[in-house]
Amino acid sequence: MKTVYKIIIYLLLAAGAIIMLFPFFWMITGSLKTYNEITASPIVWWPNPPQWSNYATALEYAPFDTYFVNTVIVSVANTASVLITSIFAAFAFSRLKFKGRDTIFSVLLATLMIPSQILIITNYVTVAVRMQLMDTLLALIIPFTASIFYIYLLREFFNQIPEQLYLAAKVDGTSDWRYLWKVMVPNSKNALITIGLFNFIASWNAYIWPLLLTNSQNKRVLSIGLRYFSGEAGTDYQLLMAAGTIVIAPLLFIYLFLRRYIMEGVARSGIKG
Amino acid sequence: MKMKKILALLLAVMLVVSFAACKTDSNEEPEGTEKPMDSMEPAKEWPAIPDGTVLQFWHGMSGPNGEAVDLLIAKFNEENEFGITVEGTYQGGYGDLHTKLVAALQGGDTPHIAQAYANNIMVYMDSEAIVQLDEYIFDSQVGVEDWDDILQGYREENSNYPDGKFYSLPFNKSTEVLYYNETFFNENNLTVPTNWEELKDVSMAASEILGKPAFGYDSLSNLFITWTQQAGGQYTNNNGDVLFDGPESREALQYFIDGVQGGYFRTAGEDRYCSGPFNDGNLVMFIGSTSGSAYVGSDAFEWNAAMVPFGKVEKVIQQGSNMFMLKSNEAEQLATFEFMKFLMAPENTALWAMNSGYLPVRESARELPEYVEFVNSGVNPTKDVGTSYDGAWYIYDPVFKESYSVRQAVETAVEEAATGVKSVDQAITDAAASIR
Amino acid sequence: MFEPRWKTTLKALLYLSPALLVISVFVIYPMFRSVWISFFKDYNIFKHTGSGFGLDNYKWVLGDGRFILSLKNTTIYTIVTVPVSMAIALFIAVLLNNKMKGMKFFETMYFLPYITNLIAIGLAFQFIFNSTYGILNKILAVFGIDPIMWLNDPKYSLPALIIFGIWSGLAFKIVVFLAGIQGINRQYYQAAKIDNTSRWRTFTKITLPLLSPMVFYIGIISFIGAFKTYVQVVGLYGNNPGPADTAMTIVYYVYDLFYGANEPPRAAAASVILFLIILVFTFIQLRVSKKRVQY
Repeated sequence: MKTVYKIIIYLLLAAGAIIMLFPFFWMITGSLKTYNEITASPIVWWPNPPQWSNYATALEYAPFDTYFVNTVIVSVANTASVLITSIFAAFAFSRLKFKGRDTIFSVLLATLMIPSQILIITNYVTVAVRMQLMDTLLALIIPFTASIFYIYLLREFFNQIPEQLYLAAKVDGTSDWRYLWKVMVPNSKNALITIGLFNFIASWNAYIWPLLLTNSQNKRVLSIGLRYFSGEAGTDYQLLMAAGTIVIAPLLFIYLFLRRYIMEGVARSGIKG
Repeated sequence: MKMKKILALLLAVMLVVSFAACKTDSNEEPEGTEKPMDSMEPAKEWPAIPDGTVLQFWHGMSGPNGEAVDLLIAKFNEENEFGITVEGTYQGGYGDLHTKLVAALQGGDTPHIAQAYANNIMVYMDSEAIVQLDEYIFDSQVGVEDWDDILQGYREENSNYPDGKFYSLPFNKSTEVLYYNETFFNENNLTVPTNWEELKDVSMAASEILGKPAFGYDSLSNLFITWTQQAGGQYTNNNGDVLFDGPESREALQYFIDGVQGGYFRTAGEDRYCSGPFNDGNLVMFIGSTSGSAYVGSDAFEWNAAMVPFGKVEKVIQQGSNMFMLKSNEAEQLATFEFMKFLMAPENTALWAMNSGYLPVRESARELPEYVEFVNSGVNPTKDVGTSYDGAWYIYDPVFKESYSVRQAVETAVEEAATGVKSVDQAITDAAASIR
Repeated sequence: MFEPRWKTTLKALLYLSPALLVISVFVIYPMFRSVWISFFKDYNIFKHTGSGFGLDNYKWVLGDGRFILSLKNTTIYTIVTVPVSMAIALFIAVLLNNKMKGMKFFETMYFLPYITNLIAIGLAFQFIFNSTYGILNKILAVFGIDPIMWLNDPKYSLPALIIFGIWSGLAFKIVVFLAGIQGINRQYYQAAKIDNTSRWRTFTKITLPLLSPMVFYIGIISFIGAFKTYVQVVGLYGNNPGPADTAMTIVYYVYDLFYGANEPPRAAAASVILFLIILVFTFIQLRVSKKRVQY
């Protein structure tokens, strides 16, 4: 590739990266400022001196360690179940030709069109009252074990795998189950990891549902902890930034660790024999 | 077309399933006809509170306020002679707490006592799980001591329900004060304004020096409600009548808009709270809640607080939320009431005020030596000012179904006028008309 | 050779059953309840009783100035944010899809907004949009444009939200597009190379068409999501959706109606109206796609 092109690409990407990064930068520097420095006008760019104590202070506001454990449990369970249900459902929508396929898919897609805020109260009654799962981690997992959002995405990824492979396998007498696990899933590693990561992040940051369904400190999650910094009269921004940084650090770590798998394409050399 | 079929199918199924899934009684549910939980005879026989009773208290207090709540709870748990233990749970801010209560009242786990605004408590009453407190308050045996010691405005606000009975009691109350930059005032020989004329003059002078608007008002809806009444007008009443569509509200709003357009008044605007620009010296006066005092302050100057400037009539808003009791059993309800009384007792409400952003709910609390000492230490000027308002000056939002929407409408009216979208007259007319 | 259709259908349903079960209980059922509630003028959500069955709430909502305003805001927001965000994301994904060094670093940068705390982001954008010292105005000043009161001026509060919306929607789209591009069978590119096809032709004749399902997925999902915008408004504006509600979206309106004004039936009615609007638009999109999307 011509050097000129390379330079242009780097410049563009760098410019974009700065824009994307800015709030993250703002959060980190904010976490080290005093309250007055954050709200100061004109702008104070760098904390002077950096208030490392903000992190310690923020952690005292709520039992973040317990919250952390719970959040991990719920997010992992959630992600695992979403992957399973999505694999099954996406497979059905992608490869199986069955009656009503498009209809059912459309109905499921329509479920995305209702704002979740309005569904919460009914779900609360279902889970807390009817299922008697109030104040349990299970309550935080169950309603989110499947989502058309990810099923749809995975279907598209599955569709990228050539259909000839499937037809050939069927000719060979391979069962759907075998095909799914021996061919489709291995070839969709990227997509699955991507979906898993998205879901994990969403689960990690979910707030309203955990708040409604838990009361005990030993059942609560990190996102609730973040709420301790905003009050009626104002927000302790600097502490919120510190806590916020702590909360997303694991996500960043996981992303960095997994991104190899997400971004690398799986080289496909054609129809497997 | 497939989609049309799906649509029709969906609608049909929706109707059928809705009918099947929901048992519905199409009877009219009149409001406010909640009866006491069981037939209360006069000269009631109160049950004994079993030792080891545990009460759940849901609140929306975090940070220093949360610590103050924990302090009070610990004190009660230690001191009460009934062996009651209260457990406090933070349920997010007011909004989240409200969402949580709405959900819980659908048959889930409810607490014994919680915090809420009066208009929300009125909504909770639909669940028939809110306990009316009159027989507790006025009972000769367990009732509240020195009832009239509690500020009149607070007593009125907590019985401001459709049937005029008490369904809540005051807990974390606040009011508005005028925050000002004392250093700036001294340096420039300005006096603290006490009425509209003076506010205008001082603001103009200060703005001249600053080069930008010198006075701000945090809550625009409070501005409207308070200044309209300070001009002699009215806001709403319990029936939900809109009473502000008159000359006084226009006078009040015009007074403010003249200031905005004249460059000496401002709203909080993009800064969200006036305390931000105040701390930076970009504002030298603002009217804000006493509960915001924790966010005010800078190393660069000394700040102080004064009573809000008055118009023709002295009026100031009373704010904050209240506590209410939910149904459990007789013994636990009595235990809950003991806790409520505790929170309102003079030394405890004083303790609360000294450690949180709120004010004592009793007059006598202000005279307690520890409180006087606290006030004199000057660490928080708003505490002194907040308690020096005459009880008769307090106003509050009458509670009725649309009260929230009315407040929203007047806030929008002020914003529209302040940003020049509408004239004062048009904004107020539209606001009054929009309430349906 | 292939199983008869009914057997396939049964099998498919088996595969679908876990997802169907969860979605039915936790989405479809509550949806129906909402619709049910929306027909009652007065509804006691605690006792599940209501009175005044009819279309009163729908009439009320459709006649409410604030609803109309939120509808207008949301429509403008969606129409601008979705295509712009998609175009930028596609552009960046293509840029990232090369063998140069440092691409992984850039990918991480572009993904960061997705995991960053919303309030932190909101705060940062409040700074960016600040009329006196915000970056945006400083940049505009270079071009001789006067400072704009982004968050204070009713004319600009929605544009500010739109800019924020475009920004916050990029991360997800970039990741999906990039994964999609990289999932395209290399064979096609090899064939193109052999034929000595130009980069632009490769892009338009191979990449884009093969990416079209992904593009379409993003289009549908983003459109639906944009119509349901809520958290971005809270993140940028807190409790006050723009001066005089100029940045209020429909879901914000619904939420406010439900928990602020305590009017669940009206909120439900507004949600149903929103649902129908999205349904119609999505249907149109689906029809359009039938002609364009290739597998």
